[in-house]
Amino acid sequence: MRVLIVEDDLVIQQQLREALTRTGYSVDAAGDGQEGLFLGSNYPYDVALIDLGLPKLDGSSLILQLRKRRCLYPILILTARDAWQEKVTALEAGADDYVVKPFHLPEVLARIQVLIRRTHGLAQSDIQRGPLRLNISTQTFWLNDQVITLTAYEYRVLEYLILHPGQVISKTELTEHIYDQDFDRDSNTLEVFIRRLRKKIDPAETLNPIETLRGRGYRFAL
Amino acid sequence: MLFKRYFPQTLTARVLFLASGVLVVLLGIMALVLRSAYSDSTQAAERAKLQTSIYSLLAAAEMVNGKLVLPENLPDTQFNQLSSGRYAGVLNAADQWIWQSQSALGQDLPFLPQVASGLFEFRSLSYATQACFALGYGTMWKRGRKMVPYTFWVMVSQQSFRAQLKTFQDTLVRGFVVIGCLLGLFQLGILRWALRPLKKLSTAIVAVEQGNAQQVTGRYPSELQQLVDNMNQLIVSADRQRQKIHNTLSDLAHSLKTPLAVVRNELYLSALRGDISADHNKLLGEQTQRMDDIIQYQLRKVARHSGHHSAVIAVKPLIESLLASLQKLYAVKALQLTLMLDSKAVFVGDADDLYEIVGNLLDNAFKYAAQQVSCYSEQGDSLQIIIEDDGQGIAEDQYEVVLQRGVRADERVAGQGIGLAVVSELVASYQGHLHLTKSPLGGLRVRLML
Repeated sequence: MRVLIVEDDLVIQQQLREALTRTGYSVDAAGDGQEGLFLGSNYPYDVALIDLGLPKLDGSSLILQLRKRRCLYPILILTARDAWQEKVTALEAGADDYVVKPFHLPEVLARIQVLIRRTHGLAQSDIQRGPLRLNISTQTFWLNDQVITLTAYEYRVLEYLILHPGQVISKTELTEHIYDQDFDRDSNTLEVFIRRLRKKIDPAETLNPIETLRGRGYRFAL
Repeated sequence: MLFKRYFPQTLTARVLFLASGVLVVLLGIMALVLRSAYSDSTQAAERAKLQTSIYSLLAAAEMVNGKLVLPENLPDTQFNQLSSGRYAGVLNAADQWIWQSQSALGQDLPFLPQVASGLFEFRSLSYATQACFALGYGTMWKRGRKMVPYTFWVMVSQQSFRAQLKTFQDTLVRGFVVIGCLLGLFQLGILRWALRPLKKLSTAIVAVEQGNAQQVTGRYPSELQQLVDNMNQLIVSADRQRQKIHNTLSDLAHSLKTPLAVVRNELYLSALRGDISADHNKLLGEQTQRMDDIIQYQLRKVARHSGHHSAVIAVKPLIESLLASLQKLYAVKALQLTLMLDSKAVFVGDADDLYEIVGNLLDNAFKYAAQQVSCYSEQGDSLQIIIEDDGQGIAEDQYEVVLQRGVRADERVAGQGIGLAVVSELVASYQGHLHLTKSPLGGLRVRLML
């Protein structure tokens, strides 16, 4: 999952980046509204965290601009101003939720999880697909109720595919959602991740949960 | 002190009181002057009549054998009737009455002096228990070769004069009372007309005070227009000041919350990295939470005392915008909403405050509701908003506790939401009421009166 942070306070931005990266997200960050608009409208994020008081372009205007450009990913507002009128203005502009500063990082992470679940129409954090089970909140994976350890990138690939069951996901799309913009991308690496994942989640090679569609990408087929 | 207490307090009463006083004094002086002029004029007429009588006596008198003689019956018959009120007498050089009219028969004429020849003397005196006017005329009669002095005195009772004067006085008083009343009414009419702009100004100020207008509006006489302009400038200046305080507080909140967020986040990340012990983390976490609570509490306290920016706010669109936002926030719960919102309902006060009050109440309802939330608003003598949910509700013995105001943030009972306390403080600042009861839906029913 790829997250955009638009926050002018560089310390908070760095802390959010660290917390999100530790949780398994790939993160891009912008320090002002204009940079946020550029990143937000050019990359396919899964969720965005936007501070309301931003230089160059304020948070509400940024959200409005992103929605006008048909960027439909969920947006979580970070605000120090907790007046209802300001919350309503930001939510009417197109935000999906808010957290008030000084926030607790676990709360931010939980809200992001809720937004992702809501976007994918999930009522709970557990996703069961046949004998496979994934908890997006604890980032734990089970095969036949046995916990399987995955690396951060393996988890990202699997989570993205499970959240888009039956859809053909191109290598480019998958790459864009699991890496941040500064990462040196190599399509061979993705193939390596997929191969390793298949071995871990289907050691008996009976389920074939991840199909390869030549020249088109991958599909989660359970 | 006593004067101040009983002195009229309204402008109209003051002007009327003073003007009526001046009017009474002026009319009184005028009455005295007119009475005096009428009295003088009537006296002069009486004197002229007496003078005519003297001339007729002189014409009737003749010297017979060295003795001045007057006929028994005089042409003026009043001199011939006893106690008629008109008397005459002739005084010789020895101050003896040598003749007196039949009207004074049996009575001694009063002592009167001799008057120099050719001169008149007019005086007022008392005779036969009556007040009289008396006119004397000095004359010389030839007796042989000698010229002998005589003084002719004629007296008339003042009864008729006084009756005339009284009639005049009564007419004068009646006339002046009527004139005084008419002038008073006229004055009252003028005052009302002249003070009408003040009444209009007072109504306009009340409208500003109640939040029905932002400025004192309307055209006023030039004397008042300057005051109105100054007042409007004062209102604008006060609004700016209030806005400035509000903005400063808002900026303060922002500037304090961001570093607090940094500290809190760093604690969390340090714990993840293993840079800090669990005890230290817990202690510092509690202290940052306490700092946050104190900041919130003090900010609310100052905001509460910075006054309200009053305006007339339509309640329905405000509630609808809040509901739209809350439905987005609580989309996962897919709550069933029952709404009955009066489109005429208005709130006179600060829009931010109504957002906070209704926003917190609806947020609580959405947060705790299982399936249903209902919102009802009605405009009667006051604004009534009822919000209900089908959640767990609050135990009846906790109603007072959750609404308790003035509790220090750092002394707050753990786990007690501050939403209702904030609402309670704001509602109290508008002299409103907040009633918590059990809802027929099963959860909490909050009835708000503003």
